Amino acid sequence: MSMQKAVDNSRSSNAGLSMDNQEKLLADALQNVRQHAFAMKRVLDQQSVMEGLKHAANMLGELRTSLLSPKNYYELHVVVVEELHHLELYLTDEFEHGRGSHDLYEVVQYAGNIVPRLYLLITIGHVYIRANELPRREVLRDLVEMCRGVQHPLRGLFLRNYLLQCVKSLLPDTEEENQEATKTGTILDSLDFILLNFSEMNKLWVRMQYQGHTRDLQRREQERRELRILVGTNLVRLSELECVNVERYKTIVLPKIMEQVVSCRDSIAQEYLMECIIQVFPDEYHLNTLNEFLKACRELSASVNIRNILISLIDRLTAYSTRDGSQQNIPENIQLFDIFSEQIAEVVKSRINMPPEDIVALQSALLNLSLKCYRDQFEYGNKVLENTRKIFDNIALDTQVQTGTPAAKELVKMLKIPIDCYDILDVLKLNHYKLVLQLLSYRERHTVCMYIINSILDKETIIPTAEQVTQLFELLLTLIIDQTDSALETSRQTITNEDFVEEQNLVARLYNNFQAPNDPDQQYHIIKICQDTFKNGGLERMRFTYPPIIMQAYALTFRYKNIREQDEKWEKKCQKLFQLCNQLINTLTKLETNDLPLRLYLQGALAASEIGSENAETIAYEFFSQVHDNEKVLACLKKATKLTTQIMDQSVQVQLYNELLNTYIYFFNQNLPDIDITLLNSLIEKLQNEMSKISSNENDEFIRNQIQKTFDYLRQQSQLEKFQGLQINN
Amino acid sequence: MDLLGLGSKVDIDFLLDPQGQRKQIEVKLDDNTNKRILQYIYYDGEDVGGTVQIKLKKNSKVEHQGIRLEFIGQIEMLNDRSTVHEFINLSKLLAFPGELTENTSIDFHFPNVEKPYESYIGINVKLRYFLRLTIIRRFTNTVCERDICVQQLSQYPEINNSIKMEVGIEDCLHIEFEYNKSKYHLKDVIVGKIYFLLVRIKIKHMEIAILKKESTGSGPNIYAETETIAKYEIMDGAPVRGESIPIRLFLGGYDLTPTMKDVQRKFSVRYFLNLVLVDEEERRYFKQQEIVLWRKQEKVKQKNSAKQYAHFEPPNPAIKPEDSATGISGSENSPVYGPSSSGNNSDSTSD
Repeated sequence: MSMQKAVDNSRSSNAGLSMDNQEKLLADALQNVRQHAFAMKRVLDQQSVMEGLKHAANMLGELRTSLLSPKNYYELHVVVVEELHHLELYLTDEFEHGRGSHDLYEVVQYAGNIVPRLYLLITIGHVYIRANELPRREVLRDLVEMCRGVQHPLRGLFLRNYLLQCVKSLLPDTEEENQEATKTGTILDSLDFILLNFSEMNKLWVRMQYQGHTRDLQRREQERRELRILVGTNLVRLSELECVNVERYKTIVLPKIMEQVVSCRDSIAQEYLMECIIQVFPDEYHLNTLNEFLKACRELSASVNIRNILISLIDRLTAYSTRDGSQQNIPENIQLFDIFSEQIAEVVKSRINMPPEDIVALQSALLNLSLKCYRDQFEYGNKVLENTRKIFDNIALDTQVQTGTPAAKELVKMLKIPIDCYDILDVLKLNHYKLVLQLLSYRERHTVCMYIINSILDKETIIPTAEQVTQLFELLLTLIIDQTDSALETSRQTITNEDFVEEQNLVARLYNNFQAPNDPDQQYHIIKICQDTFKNGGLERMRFTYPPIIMQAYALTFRYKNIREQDEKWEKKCQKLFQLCNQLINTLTKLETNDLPLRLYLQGALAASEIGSENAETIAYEFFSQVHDNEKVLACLKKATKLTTQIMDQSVQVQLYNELLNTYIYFFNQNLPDIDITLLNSLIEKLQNEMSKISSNENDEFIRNQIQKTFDYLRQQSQLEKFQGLQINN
Repeated sequence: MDLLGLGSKVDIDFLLDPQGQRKQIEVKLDDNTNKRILQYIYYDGEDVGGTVQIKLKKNSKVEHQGIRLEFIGQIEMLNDRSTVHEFINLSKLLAFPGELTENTSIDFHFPNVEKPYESYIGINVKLRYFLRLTIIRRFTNTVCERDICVQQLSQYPEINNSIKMEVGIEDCLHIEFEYNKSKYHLKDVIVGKIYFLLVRIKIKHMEIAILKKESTGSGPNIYAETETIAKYEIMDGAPVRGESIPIRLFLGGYDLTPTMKDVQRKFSVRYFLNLVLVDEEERRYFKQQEIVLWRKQEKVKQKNSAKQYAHFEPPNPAIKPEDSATGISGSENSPVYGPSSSGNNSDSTSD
């Protein structure tokens, strides 16, 4: 072989790619097509087939262009095919009237250029098969083979697309046993045809990737995505054949497709085709070829997003298995979970560089499958969660997934799945759930916890035992106590932060769902658990979490009273509850606000009086007395004392000391704990000292009288036990 | 009709096929006018007979020295009209000297005429058969010639191997091509395939051309002419390694003759298939292979023979003898050939 060095520079391969130029090129090409088509139709009207074929060939010559972008080539192709349809109709009509020429299949093969020649051959072949002029199987085989001559990706793809469109309705779809079928072809011929066409189209499509300059790579990939439907149509057609059954799919169709998909080693093609297979073929086929499909997944190119493919399949089968609300669509012999579980593990193993978020996403899909298809088999879901935790422990033991990362987001998604499809009581049975939750950083844990609470509230799930409450609190710990890893967040955890308020309100509302309907003692346990848990949450949380406990406790006392016939210890239990409440409210008094504890005390007093147990009065009294804020009073009085000592006018000062003493006595009577006899004595002493200093004019006479009345009262009271030790001079 | 003689008084006509049974064929005249005439087709060993009609113009008489009819086969060199080589000359005296006074018809018959070669009109050479009637007269003979067309039928070749060869340019392009036969009849179809073993150049398209090479003369005076009879695109775009491209080329539509080798040591006509690959920079890579064309007896045309969708099938190795017939040495890489001529055919479809 030798070469001639003559180079024709006039043909530059990228000449046509500027946009304006493209429009002009397309317009010119369309103009030519219309002219040739017009001439073709005119001579066909005059019954001149040969002339018509010549014009058709000229028209098809426009499809030889290399200058158009794929999109514009498509536009051109549409118009050409439409015009070619006239020729086909004309020829079909000729045959229907017994005038058809018999040698056209050979005649058109004299066309010098291959692209027009093959379009004509396909058109004639189509007409001849329909007219029974040539044996169907031979022509089909011939057409799909001869199309190999067009190796240019774009032109080849459109040519083969035309072929597929033309023979679409002609593909034999009958069984082999049929004797007649050996001439017209059988399903096997159709399979050969489409599978070959598919392989060739895919090869052409993949080849586009490697044409032209690397700087245009992105544009090329975009163009390829626009063309993918041309390849996928073959698979759609395969799925429409009635004689393709599970067996044929498993033994012929899928292996052939997979062979091509794997061997093309192109990630765009592999991703699209795998997705396409999943979508176009029926669920039963997938169920019966899971191992084959998943094995092929492992052989895909490393840059393929395997995650999307697998998830797509799992989701599809999950939806199938739960369709019509039943779970009986999966045949018993197919261990869906085991197969996916094993194969996914293999896939993960075979891809060392698989990002963690992809692994999680796969596990999510698997979890979804196990929860939906095997609703009652908690061990499956638990297994998935356990594996997920293990995967992270293998990367770095006891290390949290950094907040905001894709992996963290995927984990959140994963953890929401059981919440969505189970109620919380079932979720609590997944004992590895908590371990996966712990992988997350504060913010994501927070998200999940809020999601859990909202779900419980929305579904109005009742949590009936203390044990379950304990487990739930373990999950929700992030919201219940301060977290070591939430340093940034802690400063915002006050009443002034709306988010915090909303969050804690939700936690509080949760309490209403803790109900042991027929078991007051269980309810008591729940209250204890809550107290034990919430007491670690800090004052800011208690503001929200304590009141519902207290109210629940009051309510429980009523329940005890209702069953007092059955439970002789009911009074004791009520007593305990009131004590508990007292303790809790007391803690709340440390808050800045006064009205909350006030109302709770009053409510308690009310409850106690209603219960009417033996010591109810004491309790009620106790609660009433607690309504006054001890410390505040004392602080107030101390301040008043201090101010009084600073007064210059002695008579006014004495008068105020008297007022002060009266106030002290009042609170002493009210049993304010910090006001005792000693305090009163010192005040009396002070008052007496000061009184001796003032002159005895008329103005002061009124004051003396007042003081005298105070002392009279005290002397009278000093007889009482309560006032024992009062020292008062006469 | 060629009528010689000044102010000729006679019209001469040959009736060769009064029953209208003999096939005719359109033959291109060699006078560059693109005119075509019909000629009767004869085969080797067939009788040549018929009637000569001599018509006199009104009220005229023709005195003659005898009327002679010849059957002649000859080779003419078109670039040198003076050199005519007759390889057949059969002669008959149709009439003794006398006088023609009225329109006359004379039957004639040449039995079992040997016609060893095919009629041929080429660029530099013409092989023709014709009847020549001569009315011998004192001053100027009246001569009339009538050409016939001879077709040389051949038997099916006993040996007809496929042509198979691996060719290439090192580290650049390696292909293996195969044509199903080495000998094709004129209505045959060439079926084959090209298999790409290595492709490192950007091929734009591939075509197959039928070249006709006519050589005339001998020794230092050899004239060689190459004519592209057909140019046929068989591949569009760039293949990759492993691709196999089918070839199917019908010969019936092209103007072909049987291969002629060293006819009377005057000329040869040989045919070649030229496989041409053109790369994106318009460089042409090609390989020529001679094929032998032969004429097969025509049968009633079958409706839709299977050859219109024939595909290349590898021949059964058991029946395959050595490659002696075509002289191709197996699958050796072939030697380098000279640059090709750019074809002169347009891309138009054939009739």
